[in-house]
Amino acid sequence: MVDRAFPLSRRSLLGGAVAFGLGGLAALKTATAAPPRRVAVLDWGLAACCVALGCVPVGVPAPSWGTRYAGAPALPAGVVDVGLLFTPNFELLQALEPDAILITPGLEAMRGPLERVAPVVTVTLDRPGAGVLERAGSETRRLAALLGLEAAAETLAARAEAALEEAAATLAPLADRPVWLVNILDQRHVNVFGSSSLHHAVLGRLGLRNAWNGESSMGEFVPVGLERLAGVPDARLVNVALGGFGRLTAMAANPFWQAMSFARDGRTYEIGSVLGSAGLPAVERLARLLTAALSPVEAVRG
Amino acid sequence: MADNRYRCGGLVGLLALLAAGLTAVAAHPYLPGSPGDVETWRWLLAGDSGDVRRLILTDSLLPRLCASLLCGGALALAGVLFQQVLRNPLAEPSTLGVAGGAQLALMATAMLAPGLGVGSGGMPRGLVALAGGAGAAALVVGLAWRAALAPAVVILAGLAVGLTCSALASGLMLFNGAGFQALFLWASGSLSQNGWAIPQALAPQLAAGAALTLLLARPLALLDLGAEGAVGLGVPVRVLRLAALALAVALSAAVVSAAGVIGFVGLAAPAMARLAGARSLDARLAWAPPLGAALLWLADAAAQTVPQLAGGGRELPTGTLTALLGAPLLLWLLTRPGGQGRGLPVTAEAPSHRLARPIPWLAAGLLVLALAVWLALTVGQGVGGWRLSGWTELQPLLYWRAPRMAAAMAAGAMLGAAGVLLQRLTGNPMAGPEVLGISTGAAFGVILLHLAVPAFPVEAQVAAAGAGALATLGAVLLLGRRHGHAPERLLLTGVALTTVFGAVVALLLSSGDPRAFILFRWLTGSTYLVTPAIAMAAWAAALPLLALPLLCARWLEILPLGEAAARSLGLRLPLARGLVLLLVAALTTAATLVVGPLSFVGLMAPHAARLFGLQRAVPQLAGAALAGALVMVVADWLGRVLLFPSQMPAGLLATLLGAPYLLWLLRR
Repeated sequence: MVDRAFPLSRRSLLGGAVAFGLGGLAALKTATAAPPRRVAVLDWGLAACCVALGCVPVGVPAPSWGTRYAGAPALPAGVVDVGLLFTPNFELLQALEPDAILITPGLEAMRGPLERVAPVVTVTLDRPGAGVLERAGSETRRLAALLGLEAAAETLAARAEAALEEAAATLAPLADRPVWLVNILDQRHVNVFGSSSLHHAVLGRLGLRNAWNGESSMGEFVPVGLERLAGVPDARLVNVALGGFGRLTAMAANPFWQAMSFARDGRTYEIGSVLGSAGLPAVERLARLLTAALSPVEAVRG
Repeated sequence: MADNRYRCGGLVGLLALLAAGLTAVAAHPYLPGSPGDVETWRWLLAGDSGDVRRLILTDSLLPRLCASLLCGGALALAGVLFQQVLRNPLAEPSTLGVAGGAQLALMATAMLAPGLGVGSGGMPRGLVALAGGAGAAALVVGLAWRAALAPAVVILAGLAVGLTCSALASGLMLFNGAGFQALFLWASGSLSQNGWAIPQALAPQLAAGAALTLLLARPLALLDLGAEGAVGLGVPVRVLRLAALALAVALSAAVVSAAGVIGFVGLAAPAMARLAGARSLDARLAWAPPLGAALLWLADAAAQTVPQLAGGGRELPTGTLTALLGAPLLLWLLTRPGGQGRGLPVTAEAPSHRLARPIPWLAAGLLVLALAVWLALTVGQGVGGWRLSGWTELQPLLYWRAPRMAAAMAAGAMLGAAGVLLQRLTGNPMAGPEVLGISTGAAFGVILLHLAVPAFPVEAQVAAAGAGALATLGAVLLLGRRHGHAPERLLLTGVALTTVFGAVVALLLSSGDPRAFILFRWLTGSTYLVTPAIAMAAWAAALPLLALPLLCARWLEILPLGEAAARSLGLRLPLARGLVLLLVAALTTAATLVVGPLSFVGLMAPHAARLFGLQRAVPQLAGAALAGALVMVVADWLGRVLLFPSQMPAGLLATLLGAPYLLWLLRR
């Protein structure tokens, strides 16, 4: 019941998002001839993408946490903290006098109050599911068009494409083994990136096989017990350090982890945080991080 | 006696058989051959240590099975001890705030000292949880010490401490929702293992606990004579209570630190032992632990196999499954004839003076409320720090400040009035709409709606909350009818419903599902998204609902006098009770929709009015509505400005203001 409900909700949200997004875009175009300069961005992935495009938001919720989760590029120090991720402070937003507010479908419920402050545009850089990679590109371009930074989007797209090409070429010898793409939660649980995530799509583009083949309709990742990882004996394992490094090292003291073939045979790797909701910059970042983490070791081994 | 042994033994055997079957299903994918084959066992006992499938069996499934047996046994033993000392069949390991304290300690440590790696697991987590759980229990014992650890005081102090800890932990979660997924997993209880460390640590702890229990068993059995009787036989009651509580807390804290919050085993296992005929303390001490072990084994095996049979996906937390399995059992227990049901004694109302002329005082209260409203509207924080806004500067800010303030005020007034109605109806000063589980029911309706339907209008949410509240109310009435609406059973039914509900919320939050955060915000009692329309709807509901109780003022004077007095005065008791409860449900549902289910206002506002000297029904109603409105306006304002630009839900702050007040009432 739960599984069926969520994609439905996502789909309906998407429909709404497209309609609202276009509406907001049209409103912006008519209201102000120039693209918005002062933009409040109420999502960390979106904020990271804006910074990559060259537009520094005036306000972002809890920016220090945003930088921790989205990795590079970091949010500049001048960005105003507008409150918690799901409860931005309306009074403060109003005081910042933004030209536009960017939100994700998850914040659609507060569109009404936000529109009192400034025109609201919904952007969905990540739409987990089939074609997530293509949509990351098209949505990044749409965001860039909205901000009047089309050229920057083309640069980002070219860089992402180049990073993917290079990574695919470098990592081609690694197609022999499936890859676990996880986020270690604690000594007994990991989040596994499932088939609807951007991470899965990038793996596929690089010619690598995701070791997880279970259900993933709930979202980007699924929390599972460690024992589930043992089912694919020859896999490599990459820990995506969402929110901070160190958890892979902490597993060194875990006998069960050490007995798994990927740990025993030294096939574990750790890369920095990549938010699947950051669009093209996330694609490029993930491709580069995977190349950097996976290639030298395998090269030494021949 | 022999008969009891057979029935208890049979029950243990049945549960263990079911659990063994499910375990076999869980282990099957990893076995090279059939379990009946000798080769399979030879491989398992002395096979290649590098074989991953064997590793899963020997270092994950098998220690997990042992951990479930040990945790189940320890929780059941702690449950028997708690129930014997607290003289209450529904006392259990979380009654003394152990789980809430452990959770708060983990959250706080993960946030304030991230270097310890508490969020990512390892040994520190167990120690931190242990310290937090023991600390909360020590606080409860300290608060109840002067009352010679009298059961009623210990239970209520435990409830208040536990709720305060949970509210604080919820506040911390709001600030770092995304970073706390690992702790959410822990909070919903997981027995997933990666080696033998946890069973090896738990086994000696449980053995020591069992040995100490043997020493305490005889004096504890004398508590069945009542405190006076035990004192008469020379039993040092306070010391004995302290020793038994300390032992039980140590056992539950050990389990909490190893496996997280596993609900209901500590409550269900002793109850099942009783129902199967183990009536004496010795018999319950002997049979509850094996029953608990078998029950948790079954729940854990089910947690592993259900997703496997349903075609993959995430595993269900064991704690959630035990709570969900335990709920029907508990409600069934509540309908049983109360042979063993030593109820929670109704604590006497604190004596206070009575105001001869309440009207001037109520007018003064209105003035204070007006002052609070002015404060909430004009004082706030902005980019440049604290500010007191004048009229012109206020104009653009009013849209953000006025509706949420007005809605909080309406909700507070309704909760205060509902509290007065319930306390007068039940004659129990500890009854409040939150404690009775009615607002929990409303919240449950909304959660089910969120899970079942992707998008819905606000009206559907109102209907779902109303249906949930009415269903809960119906259940409470139905369960209470057999016992003439005995107040303690009403209270305990609510506590049970709240526990189950907590398990479901923890399950949702640990999934990382984005909807969970939106729900979580509502559950913690937020006025954040209140629009002018919602505020007006809240007042449109509040005005008639606050006026209606005035029509039944005479009933409200008579009901607290008890059933016999009410009948002799010619009151049609079923009609009066039914109508008053309906009013309570309507008031609570309307308030819950605005501020969420978590707030102590309904419990504390009637006391504030009463202690102030507003003793008669109508003045108390007016005073409680005023006090509730005042607390909610202040809580909403504090939530808005205290941690600017971040905002705290008003319901959470109202709990943080209210729980210490409840503790203070108990101290007196």
